[in-house]
Amino acid sequence: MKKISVACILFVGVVASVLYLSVVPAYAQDVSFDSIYQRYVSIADTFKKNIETGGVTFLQQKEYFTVVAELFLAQNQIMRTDLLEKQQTAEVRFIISELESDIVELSDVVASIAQASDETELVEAIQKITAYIDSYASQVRKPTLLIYTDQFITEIITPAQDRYDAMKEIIAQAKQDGKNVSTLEALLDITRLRLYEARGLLADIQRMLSSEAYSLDVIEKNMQQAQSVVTDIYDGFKELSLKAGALFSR
Amino acid sequence: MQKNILLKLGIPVLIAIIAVSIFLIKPFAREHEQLKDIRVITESEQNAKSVSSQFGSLLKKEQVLVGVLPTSSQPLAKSTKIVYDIFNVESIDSAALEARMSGFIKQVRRHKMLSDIKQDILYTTSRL
Repeated sequence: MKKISVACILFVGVVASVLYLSVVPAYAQDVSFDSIYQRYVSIADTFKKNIETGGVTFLQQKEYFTVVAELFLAQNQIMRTDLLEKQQTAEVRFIISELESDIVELSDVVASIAQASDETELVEAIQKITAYIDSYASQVRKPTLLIYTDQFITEIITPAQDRYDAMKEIIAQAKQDGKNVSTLEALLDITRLRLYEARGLLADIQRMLSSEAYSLDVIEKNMQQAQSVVTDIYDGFKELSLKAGALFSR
Repeated sequence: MQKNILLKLGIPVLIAIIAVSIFLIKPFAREHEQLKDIRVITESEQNAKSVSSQFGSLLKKEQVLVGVLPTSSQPLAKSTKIVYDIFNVESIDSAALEARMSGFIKQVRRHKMLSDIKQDILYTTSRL
């Protein structure tokens, strides 16, 4: 009896572990970034207060710049993993290789900060991290966001457009065959406008990223809007599907 | 005598039972009718759903038989054989899309956080 109980517990344990390992890695990186960011907020808060009172210690400086480097490291690792799952175009491969060398560089910076035994060594490490952050917006952020935007269009907008075109063609044929398709046509019309809207939002993001200065707030707002419009488009497809199913079954 | 008493008591009791039954049964009957209506609506909705999703699987089987099953890279609905696949409810599952879209937004948010950190560093290094 005892053996059976132990076997059952072991079995449940193995199943739970397998489930955990298969589900958790998908968002574990985000959790890692978020937890480092929370640590950053707390360390930065104390650090700023101490700067104002003139009481920053050598160890506090090390702690502050370490967490900064770790955040950029976490972000680069997330982007690398994301991009590895995308279509491997020349641009994507280039950015991945850049991210990989940045990951090595940032890891070295973290190690240098940890090993710094005096102010001179620490200042050298700080200079490296600040130089990296200066180049980050143009060297990493901008090209990565452009790739994401292009792939959003290729992977999400274009298939939606293809489905719309195909539905339109079939419904037009049904109309020629004498079927009443007025409801379907009205739904198609709404979808056409939504597709136009989504394309416009993505085109705005591309335009913004192509200019020298751009606002991440506006990009985020546009993306949220595009997401909501695409959700509406797919809800419309579902409705069209149900209504068309009933029509063509007659 | 006993018969009279029985009649006097029995008739009002009987009337009371009938009245109570009418008041109780009527709402139940109405509810039953409503339930019947709902069942009919649900069934027709399910029929519509299954009809549209069956189109896809039936046509896929047909395409396998004639050897023209489309690959995912082929454009949609150029052949009449895959026409109804476009209307397959199962193929219009937007959950994966949602995940991809929110991944992009998370990416932008992280960039914003890092951008704020740059401002922090400019401030702290200028004061050190």
